[in-house]
Amino acid sequence: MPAQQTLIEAFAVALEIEPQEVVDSLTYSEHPKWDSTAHMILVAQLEADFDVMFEIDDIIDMSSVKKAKEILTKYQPSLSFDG
Amino acid sequence: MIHNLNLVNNLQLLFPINHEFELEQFVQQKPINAFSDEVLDVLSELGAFLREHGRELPNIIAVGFWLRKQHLLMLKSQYRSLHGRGISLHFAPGNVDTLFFYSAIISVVTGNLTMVRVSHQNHQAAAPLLAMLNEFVNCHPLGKKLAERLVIFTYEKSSEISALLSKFADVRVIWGGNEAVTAIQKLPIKNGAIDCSFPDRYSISILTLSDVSEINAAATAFAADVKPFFQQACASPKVVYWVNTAQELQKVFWQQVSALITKAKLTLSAGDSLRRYLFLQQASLLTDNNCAIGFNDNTLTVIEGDDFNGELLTAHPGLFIFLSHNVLSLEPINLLSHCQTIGVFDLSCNVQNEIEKQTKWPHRQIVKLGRALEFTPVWDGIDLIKQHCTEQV
Amino acid sequence: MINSAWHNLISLAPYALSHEEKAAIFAKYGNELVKHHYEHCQPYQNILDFFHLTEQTFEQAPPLHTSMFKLHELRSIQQNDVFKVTTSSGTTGQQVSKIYLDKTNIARQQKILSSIVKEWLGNKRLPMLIIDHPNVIKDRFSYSARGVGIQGLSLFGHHHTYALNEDMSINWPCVEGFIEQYKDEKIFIFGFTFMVWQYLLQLLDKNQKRFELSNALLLHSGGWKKLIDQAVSNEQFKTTAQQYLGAVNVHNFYGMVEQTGTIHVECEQGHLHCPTWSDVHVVSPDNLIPLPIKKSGIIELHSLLPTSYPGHKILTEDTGFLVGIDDCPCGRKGKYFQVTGRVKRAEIRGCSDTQS
Ligand SMILES: [Zn+2]
Repeated sequence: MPAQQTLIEAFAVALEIEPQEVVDSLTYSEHPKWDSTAHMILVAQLEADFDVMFEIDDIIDMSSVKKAKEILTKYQPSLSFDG
Repeated sequence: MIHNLNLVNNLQLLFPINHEFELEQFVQQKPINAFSDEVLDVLSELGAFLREHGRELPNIIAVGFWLRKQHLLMLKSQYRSLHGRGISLHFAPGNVDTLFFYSAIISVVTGNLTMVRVSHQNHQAAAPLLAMLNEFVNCHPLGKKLAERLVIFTYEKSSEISALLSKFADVRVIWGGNEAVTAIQKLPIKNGAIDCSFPDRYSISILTLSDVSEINAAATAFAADVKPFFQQACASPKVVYWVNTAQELQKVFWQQVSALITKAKLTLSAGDSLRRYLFLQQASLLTDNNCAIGFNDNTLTVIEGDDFNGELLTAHPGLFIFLSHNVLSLEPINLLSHCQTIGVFDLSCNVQNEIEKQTKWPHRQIVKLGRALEFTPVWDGIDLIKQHCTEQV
Repeated sequence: MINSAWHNLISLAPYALSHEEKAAIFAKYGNELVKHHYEHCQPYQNILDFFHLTEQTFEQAPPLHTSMFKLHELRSIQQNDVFKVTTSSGTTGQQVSKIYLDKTNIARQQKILSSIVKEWLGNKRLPMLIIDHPNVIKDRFSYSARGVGIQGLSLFGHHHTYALNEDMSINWPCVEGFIEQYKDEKIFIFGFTFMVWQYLLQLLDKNQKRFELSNALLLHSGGWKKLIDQAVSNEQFKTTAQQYLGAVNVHNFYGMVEQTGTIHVECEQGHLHCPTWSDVHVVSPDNLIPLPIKKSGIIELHSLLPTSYPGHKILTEDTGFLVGIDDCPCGRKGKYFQVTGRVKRAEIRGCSDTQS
């Protein structure tokens, strides 16, 4: 599965939102579903789906979809979220 | 050894329910390697299960978050090959919703056979997580594996039962307060067995603010440390030391903390309110130093003072009362020997560095403000993982 | 000196002043009282300073939590002027309230109590049956709340007869002798609510006995909690008393050891009445602001009596509500109220609860 699609599904499942809502500008605590509890579910989901282990600071910094992509790429430079 | 095993009939099994608990059989099982693949699989599946079904309960999600595979592997990577000691017996509070289980996880993940007694009074707080654990055993193929190695029960206060169980323990974990710890420590355990005790502690925060723009982050983090358990957890700060911080900034800070507590709908019962008034009326009589009310609204009260002694801290009932002390440097800060956690907010990191250099302070851990209540395997200066293990043979 | 005000206050009638008239008295003497304690009781001064009172008025002074008298030594007189220390009847292991009294305060309490009780009992002393055992008043220097109550009310009786033995069994010869002797006279029975219920009425029931009194007045007081636990209502208490004792008027009263003297007696309508020298506020637990009539809250009691200890304004752990002001059908003036129970103890949260 392309990374972009994996990411969208992870966000949609974790935050219980529609896949269309998963865009770069989607931001922590601005969307009503993305609260601190959902954030923990999201992090666990991304770790499982991308097989990475985040540093604490990255977990805290992951405040938007855009940011999540940047952080994931840091752990797995081969990832591409184009398209 | 002759034990009065009939006492076991007084146990009220909370996990796994609908099973017969045979103490003799349970304690005959053997410990296994710490962080074995088998146990990590069970626990990470449990984590996923909790994250999926506990969405409405943030503290259960937090357990599920803790149990994610990557986190368990990270813990594993921090230790060399270890092996469980044997039987681990835990005395945990029933009025804290998840602590009993964090305590249990450490001993399960390190390969021990785990028995947990949650206190009998007010143990309803533990009920939601217990229900989900039982659900996991019933409907997940790996559930049985957990049920074989972990049992959770309660019984009415009885030193006889505690004594009986203690005789089997290779590790005993005793959560506070002081009276409980002392009473249980008196009960004999196996030769060479280990006690991990967590008596009463108090915690503090050290903050330094230089600009209004920092207040929001500081207040949010601080509120996270005091909201759970109405500031009554040992790790929640009761004393706040302000390093070089303008009164005006402090005032805005308290207003924001108050708003966050109000927003969380943490309403006090009439009994809580009376306890609160009592402490405020007592406060000036419990210390020889000056102290008086500073900031005060219907939600939180700040007591300004020069120093705060043990008597004042012992009487402190939580409930959003903060002892505030202004200092220009760390030097006048006098920590008492039972100080546990220091939560720090310092964007410049100068103060943080200074704190880390304080070799004579008695505290057990330093954390970033907002993370005081996060459970870590090294708690109160005790490495629970190491205590649960022997070197692998 | 604050005590001189009492020449005027002591002769007032217990239930004749309207609330407005009382308010004027409280404003005047109450403010003096706060200043008096502020000057003569160092801990009290510390407390008021801690709360940054802008003026030392009765209104602004915080009502002291009753446990303050358990945890701290609060007195506004010199140690060698202390004539008696009354204590509350805490259960074993609990700390007890310590109320420091000089001769003036003891006399004042006695005088006010007598003004109030006479309203209900009449001026004549009556043969008195006490539902307790005689040893409860043994120690002159340290009276328990039960002892204080009995001691205080004994004045209104004669031929005091204790109905119980020390093991709480009924002293039958004593009680039967008393009743035989006085069955045609008006008699006065006094006891703590729970003692009357448990050790008199319940035992009469168990032994299938009943007395046929022709004219008795039963005053009882002290913690409904034990009876609420047994689901006994005030009504049930009254009917049971009449069933087993005969023609008896039953009056509950509400009072605190911290404010001995100003008791609040239940009238024929079942309402507790504030006498002239005391006031009751029902306050919100959230902010201690007084609540309107009929709203339930915490009971705060005011009394003009205490000058030897700062007990003029106390916050109880009892709950209740104001029924009305000045307009009880019984004709007595002032506030009248009901006590509904006790505030539930604060829950213990956090990790210090593993043993229970
Ligand atoms: Zn009336």
